Amino acid sequence: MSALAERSQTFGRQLLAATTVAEMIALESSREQANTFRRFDTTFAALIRRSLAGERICRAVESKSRRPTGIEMIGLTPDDATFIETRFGYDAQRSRGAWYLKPDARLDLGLVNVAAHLAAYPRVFWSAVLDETVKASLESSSGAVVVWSWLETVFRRLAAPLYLRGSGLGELSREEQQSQWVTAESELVSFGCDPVDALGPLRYGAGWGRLNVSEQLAAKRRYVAYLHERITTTSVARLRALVTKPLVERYYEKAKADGSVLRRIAVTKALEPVLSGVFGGDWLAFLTYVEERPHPKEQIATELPKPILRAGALFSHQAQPIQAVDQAAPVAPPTIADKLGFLRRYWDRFDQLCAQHKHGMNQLTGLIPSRFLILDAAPAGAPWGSDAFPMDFVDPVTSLWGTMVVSRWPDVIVSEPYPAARMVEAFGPALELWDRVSAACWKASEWSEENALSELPQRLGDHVRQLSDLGCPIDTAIFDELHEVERHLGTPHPKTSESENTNSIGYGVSMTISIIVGSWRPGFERLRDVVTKHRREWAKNNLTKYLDQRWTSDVRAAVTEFYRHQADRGKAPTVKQFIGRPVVSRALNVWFGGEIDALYKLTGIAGSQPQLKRLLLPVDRLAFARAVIRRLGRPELRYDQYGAPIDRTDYEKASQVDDLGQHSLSFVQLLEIHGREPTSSEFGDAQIIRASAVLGITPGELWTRYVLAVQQALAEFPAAVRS
Amino acid sequence: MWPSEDGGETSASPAQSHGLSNARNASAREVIANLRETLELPGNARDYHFALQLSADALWARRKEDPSLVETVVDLCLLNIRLIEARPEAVIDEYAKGPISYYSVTALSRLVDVYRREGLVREALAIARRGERFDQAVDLEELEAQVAALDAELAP
Repeated sequence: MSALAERSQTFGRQLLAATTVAEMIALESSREQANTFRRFDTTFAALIRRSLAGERICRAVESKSRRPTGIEMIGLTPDDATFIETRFGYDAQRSRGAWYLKPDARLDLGLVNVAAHLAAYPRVFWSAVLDETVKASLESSSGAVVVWSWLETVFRRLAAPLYLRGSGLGELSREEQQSQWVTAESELVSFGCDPVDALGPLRYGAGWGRLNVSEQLAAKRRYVAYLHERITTTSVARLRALVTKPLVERYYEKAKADGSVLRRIAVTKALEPVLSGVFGGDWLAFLTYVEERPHPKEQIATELPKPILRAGALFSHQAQPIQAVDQAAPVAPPTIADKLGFLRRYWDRFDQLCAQHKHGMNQLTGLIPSRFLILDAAPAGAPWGSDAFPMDFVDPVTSLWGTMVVSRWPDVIVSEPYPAARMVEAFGPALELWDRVSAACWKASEWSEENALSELPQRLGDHVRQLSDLGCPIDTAIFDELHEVERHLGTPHPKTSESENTNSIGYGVSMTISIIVGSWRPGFERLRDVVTKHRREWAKNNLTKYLDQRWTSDVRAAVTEFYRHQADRGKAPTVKQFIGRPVVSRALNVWFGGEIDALYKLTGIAGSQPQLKRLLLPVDRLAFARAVIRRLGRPELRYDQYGAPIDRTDYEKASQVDDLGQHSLSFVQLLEIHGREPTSSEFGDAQIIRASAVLGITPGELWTRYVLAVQQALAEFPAAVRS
Repeated sequence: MWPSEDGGETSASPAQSHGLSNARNASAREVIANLRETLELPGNARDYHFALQLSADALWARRKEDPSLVETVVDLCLLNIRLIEARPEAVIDEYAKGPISYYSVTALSRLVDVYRREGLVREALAIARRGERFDQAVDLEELEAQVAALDAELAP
């Protein structure tokens, strides 16, 4: 190409024409663009070099938490730390238009620390690499964004030969290995290395299989040392070019004749990390780099509208003025207020039961219903498995949380199979926290379980933080107080099974067998009283605010998701896209019974979704499932003295029938969705095939029987609400 | 039978009785200390086999907190395999009817798993072959194919 023609082309088109990474960098170094990345290349050359020297450069802040963790970058200079925060901070990236960033992501930190693992655990270093994966919070840490968008992809390339000589040997076919070796070697060339020199005996076909374990380890160390010696700002620039190339290619593949293309067209999901990693999430920065103009219709949102909840919109009396709900004074619309009212009644009952619990009683179970029917144990009229919550108490739960929408079928409101589980979801982390504290006290005293209380602060760390985030913290002094009371519990008393077995063994001799099943320590009531004091204090100060925060934060999260999508894609999400997001379906089903328009009205989102209500599932889900099971002919089970089933075959058959009974709720939900009986494949062929094999009939025969059993059981009970 | 603390007799050996009541909640240090003590106490091969197995399982569950525990798990699994090779009765299901039946030995599958993760397919194959006599040749055919693929790298 002549120099004149070269100058008339944009820099992006010249990059596209470059055949090697070295050529791309040579082009860049002769232009302004080189200055753009000077700081980037210097910072990452130092960081990558430190990592390859065997230093750990990042770590999870809360490795034991179930919540997404922050990622700390270790040993950064103040200047590098500022650079990373400015360029990779979540809010900074979003303010430049990177609305595709999700709040969290799974990260392979082990790859980024690969040399540190090789140095510290040579015999099992690849296991250590594989095991260091975390769910990281991009939202709260620039370190997580830098790993997600840039370092992970760099180290995946650098460590490719180690993977191919590690778990890759077992995971990939011979052909896949050969193909990946070709890629790995060509990337080493791009990176400025001679593959033969870099890889030595690691190289495919170089006799790896003849080396013993220590020779293999030496070869891996040699490779890492080789890379370490070659990391410079130039090699980082080459890595950057290697990573950027697919974005440049995609851009020109989609560009119009004038060279412009919308960001949402060019940047696929796979290329989002490239835009964030190399260009700070800034589409305009990328366009400046490739010397192209923005598409005339390009809109880059730098912030999202603040969600406003218009509570008056849902009041039944339309005369009532629409009231914007702010953080300080939320007013729940009636449909939500009814739910909050029930949650308070439930809390009072929960609190009372916990406060009255004492030694000699059974452990409290069934206080928090699960997303599962207790088919065997639940006494009649106590669907949650506990007498403490009889049917008349539980009944309103079905009218409050008994409906939902399935995101794939937004045009129909169907039955929620487990209304009580939705109620628990509405209550949120406070319920589980106080229940677990009570259960730990019971275990520490009644089961003499060591560590039950001492481990509570760690086990409940996530719950404590969530309550704190909602502005309703618990007084963590409770953990010390419980620990102190635990130290003064009585000495362990052996606990025997309730019935001792005395059997005659003939000749007038009898033998008594008592089974020691552990021990208990007197003093549960003292632990209980500490918990009661703290729980009531917390409720007095926080319960009202907490419940208001629960619904408002859920609804705000849903509406924010709407705006985020709009900002990212340049248009509003479709209904399916919108309610398919977990935060949205959660808010819809927990607080609005699946009514999409109710959410729209409350949040001011423009739109309307006509929905048909088709509800066939009986109010008493448990009785219905039991009726299906009965009609399927579940075998009667008999048990021996140790509680083991006498006939194993019958037990397996009964398990399959119970499973079908549980899933009859899903069957009815499909019936409601489609307005007809589901087919076996819509329901799930695998389950029918598995059950039919155990029951000794054909899948077709079982399906016919199952459909009939559900039909008959439906006819036996009134539906919750007629459509 | 073994003498019990209350002056009677018990079928549980001192080694068997010494197991941690709640290994799931114990620290790695406690698990290792308890195993050392257990192996010092009188017991039979089965007691030692299960002590090794339970300790290896407990340490494996904690490997993310401390990756060096995987090295300890490898050592315990190798020790356990040597034990059952010397005393196979430790893993024979004495209540099974018909031909000899063995309990599942997690040391075999765990070791094969770790070696495969590390790319040590030859070592994994050797362990799988040692499991054959206990009817637990973990992924034997697959490993043979992987070793063959490794050997074939040198083929023209």
